Amino acid sequence: MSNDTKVLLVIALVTIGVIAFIVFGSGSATQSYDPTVVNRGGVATGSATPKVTLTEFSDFFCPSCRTVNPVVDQLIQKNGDRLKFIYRHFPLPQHPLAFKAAQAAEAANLQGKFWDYKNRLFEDQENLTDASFELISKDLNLDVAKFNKDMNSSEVIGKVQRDERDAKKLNLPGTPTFFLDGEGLNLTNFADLTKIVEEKLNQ
Amino acid sequence: MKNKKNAVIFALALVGFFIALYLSKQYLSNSPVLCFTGGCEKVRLSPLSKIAGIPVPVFGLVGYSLIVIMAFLRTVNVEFEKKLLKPILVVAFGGLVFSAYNNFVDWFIIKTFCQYCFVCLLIMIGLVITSKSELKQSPTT
Repeated sequence: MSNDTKVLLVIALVTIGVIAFIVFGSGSATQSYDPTVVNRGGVATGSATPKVTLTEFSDFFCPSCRTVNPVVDQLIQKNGDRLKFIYRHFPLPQHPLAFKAAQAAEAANLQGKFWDYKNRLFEDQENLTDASFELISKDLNLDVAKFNKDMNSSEVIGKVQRDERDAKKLNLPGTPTFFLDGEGLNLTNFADLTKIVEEKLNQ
Repeated sequence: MKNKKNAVIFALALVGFFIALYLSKQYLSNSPVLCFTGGCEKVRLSPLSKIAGIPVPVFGLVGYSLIVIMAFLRTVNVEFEKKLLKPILVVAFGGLVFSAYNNFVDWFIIKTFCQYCFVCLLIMIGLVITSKSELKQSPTT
């Protein structure tokens, strides 16, 4: 083996070592947060007497939140008898309409259509404008006058602000951030979410 | 060490290989990409992130793998050292054009900035410059 070959092998080993350190040395799969802050508020669905509670802090304009949305829906559909899912808002400052979208979803919640509205927001994410919120409410047969009034009510704004405040208090790195029974999940892959939740459900 | 430039080529291509490997894995498993600029996800979810149904990072994976293998083989015997420099330059130049196109798409069509695409462009520039300068030094190859 020539000296040059040996040098390249050393370079390869060092690179693999650095990558392995970054991948495996970046902490455990879970991180502890204040559970009283994680699960207060939000919009919940699934079991009223859950074995496991999954909480998501999300932004309707975040592409990853859109990607994970069907994964969460599938989890609820499959395990709704034992799983409670709490959706909480974390409208990010780089998305100018994110706070308004959260207000719209909360206004739809007051008419029992939060989950349908949430799905429509994610489906239309790429094309959402200021006018979209009312249009979606019409599509979902909501009482539009009430929807518009609720959207700007102090109750709705306060709810979104509380979620946002909690997200900041928890020092969340971004969206989506998931918590399983109050434990923060460090996900590198959304397939892991299903795996981790179902493992916990089957414990 | 006889050939420092080949070691630089190998190291650059190896870094590119791992970036492409990570991105390919995340694209193929439809998972989020760790991003400091916020633009990577926008790029990943764009229809332009695939060519003929194949995710763009997979092309990078193939290109970087070829360069890593060829740079390694060049240290095995003199014959390979002479013969494989031009193919490395060809692959690196192709990669540079491809990478420049991808960054153009990011900046002007998707209108975002993807850190990985930009780093890959820098790697390809480095690969072309290094292999070209080695080729200049050894005109007989």
